[in-house]
Amino acid sequence: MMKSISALKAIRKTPGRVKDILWIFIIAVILFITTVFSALLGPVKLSALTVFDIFFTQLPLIGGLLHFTIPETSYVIVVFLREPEIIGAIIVGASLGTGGAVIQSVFRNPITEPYIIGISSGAALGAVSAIVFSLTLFGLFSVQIMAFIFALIVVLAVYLFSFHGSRTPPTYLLLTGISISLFISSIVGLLIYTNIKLENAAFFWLLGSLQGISWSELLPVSAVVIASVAVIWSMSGQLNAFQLGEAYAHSVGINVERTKALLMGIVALSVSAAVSISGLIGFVGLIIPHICRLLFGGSNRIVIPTSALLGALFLLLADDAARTAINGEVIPVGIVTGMIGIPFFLYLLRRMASGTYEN
Amino acid sequence: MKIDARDIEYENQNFRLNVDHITIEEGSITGIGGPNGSGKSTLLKILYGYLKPRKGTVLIDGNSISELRGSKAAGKISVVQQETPTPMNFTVENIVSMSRYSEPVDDSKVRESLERCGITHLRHRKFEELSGGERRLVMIAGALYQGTEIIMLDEPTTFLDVDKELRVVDLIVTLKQLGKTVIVVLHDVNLLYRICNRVVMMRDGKVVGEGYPSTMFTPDLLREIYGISFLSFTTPEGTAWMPYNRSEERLEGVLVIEEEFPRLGLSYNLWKNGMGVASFSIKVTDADIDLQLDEIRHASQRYRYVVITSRVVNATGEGMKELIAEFFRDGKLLFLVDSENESSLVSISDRENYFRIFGVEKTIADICLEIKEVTASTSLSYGIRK
Repeated sequence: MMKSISALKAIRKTPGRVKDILWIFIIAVILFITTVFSALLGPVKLSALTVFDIFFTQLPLIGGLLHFTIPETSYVIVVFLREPEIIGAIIVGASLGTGGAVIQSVFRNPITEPYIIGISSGAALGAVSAIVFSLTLFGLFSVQIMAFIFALIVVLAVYLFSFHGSRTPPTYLLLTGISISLFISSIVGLLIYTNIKLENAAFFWLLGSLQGISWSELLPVSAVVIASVAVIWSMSGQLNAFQLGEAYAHSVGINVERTKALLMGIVALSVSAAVSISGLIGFVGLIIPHICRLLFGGSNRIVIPTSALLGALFLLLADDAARTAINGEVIPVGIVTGMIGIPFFLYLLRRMASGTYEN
Repeated sequence: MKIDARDIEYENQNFRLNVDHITIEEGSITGIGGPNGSGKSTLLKILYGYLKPRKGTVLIDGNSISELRGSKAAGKISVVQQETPTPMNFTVENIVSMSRYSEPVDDSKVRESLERCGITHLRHRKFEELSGGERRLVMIAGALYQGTEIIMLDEPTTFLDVDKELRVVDLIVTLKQLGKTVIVVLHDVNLLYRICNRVVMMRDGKVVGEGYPSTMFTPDLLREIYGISFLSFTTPEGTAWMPYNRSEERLEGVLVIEEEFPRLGLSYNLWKNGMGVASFSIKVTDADIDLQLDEIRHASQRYRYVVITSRVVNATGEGMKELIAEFFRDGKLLFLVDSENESSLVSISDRENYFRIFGVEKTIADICLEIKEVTASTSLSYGIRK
């Protein structure tokens, strides 16, 4: 244990890229291990051997050559219930973590998160409307698709309303996002209030849940999120420059308005897609980037990938807790993220910040 | 790399800027000065393309700034902003290398940039832990790392304590020595005068003067720009400009030529009586007395009233007498002060000062009254007064 801690301390002192790569590798390994063991958790007790057998049969090329005796029920539980939920937690956590890092950099504001630009209120309006009015325009996934579309529409409205001359000053964007979000939230409240029968379904969505995610909705969302994180990571340099102000970003060769619109658009796409399958899971986008900055430094070259990985890891652990905290019950994961995450963050802030946020 | 800005018109809700034509010469330090709200920073932002004017062109070596997009503009111009936000948990190295964000970090260049600014020891420190002056030096290091020929600085000495201000000023001069073209917005008149090769002076969104500070700066011009009067003291070591109390109105400038290390009695007395005063101290023991007289000849072109002490006349001999003759010919109003009767600063309120003007003795107060009358007169004449 002491040797592990010493090794971690040594890594922190290693300069530059090598250190960054090492940290990313370590978190990825932890995430992988957690992923494997998360599949063991759930209301139905499955043996570790059965679960690992199921994993091995899914491996490309090798899987077909292996012959294990696996109960069909166990296979269905792992492959069609637990795995999509686990992968969903990873994808949604990565999306929210990365989105939070981007929004905090662009707005130069540490208390912002992706929802501030209207994603949450728009998605809530779409989803609750679909639930309350029993809309089936898009078949089985009407709630998810409506959430996605409405989230993008609201973000676009926030962006367009924020124009001041030819620019979208960050303060205007923030205030417009907050104002429009509050307005739409009141409409959502009204919809729920006037449709009490569907209150539970709507609230469950508003509190966030990874239960019941299917592969058919997870695959396109995963593609969008993975592509978004990759593009955002490649724009780490621009994100760093934004943190010194838009005038500075312009002076080092960045097309400020175009880059800002592009980054916001990518975050809107990624987080809207994530929220469409998970509902509104709070805390992750706000706090995870800060934890990464405190642990690994402020450069987005390390903050972006670690926010994705740590966001994924955190949400996965939260979902594990949500599934196992109460026997036979699944708590909405948004409750868990708030109740566990905030005290942990306060602890970390006291231990490590030592003046970082005093200014 | 020359910058040429013409017919600039810029407007926003609160402010309008109009600049006919300014030129920034390659390898020079050009200062942009003026009171708060005069448009200094706005003009700078237009010059590096952050703000787009409604009309007009800014050319960098013949290329329009609006066509120099992205990395092309960043390859020519770097900017040190007046205010720098404090990003979370960035090191000084992160900040410096950010100016070339799309390239891998060049360690040796980072070290060189930090060395030039004298802050190598701060390389791995967190940016938010530094003082304001240290952060300003880090931003200048970042501009050096960017490797551009033109460096623009927006009020780089604001809110700095004295030693950091001196360091930044020395750095600006070093930038010029490195062959950079420097444009610096300054609110300090003395810094503009001291370090800038040329200045562009602004008021209410307009350029009210452009040229060499040594010839351009007069109490009258500075009063027009800043709305307050300045007292200037020129010594062989340089000129200092001191602002007056804003509530007092000052008349036109008087050039006072007095000996080295003046006791300030004469200038102060004139100032007390309501005159705007520019003081030129002549080093009578210097071998280059003719050079100094040439400087006085040049400086006096902007003044109608000249006061010379008898000690200066006696010490400089024929050279000064020839200059006085020129002043007569140019129609200047000339006052000769008897140094023996000149009051010291301590007892100025107790004694009268007597002037000998071609044999007529008058007090300073009398002289000032005369000057005021002449100024108020509708038909001004430049005759010799006896």
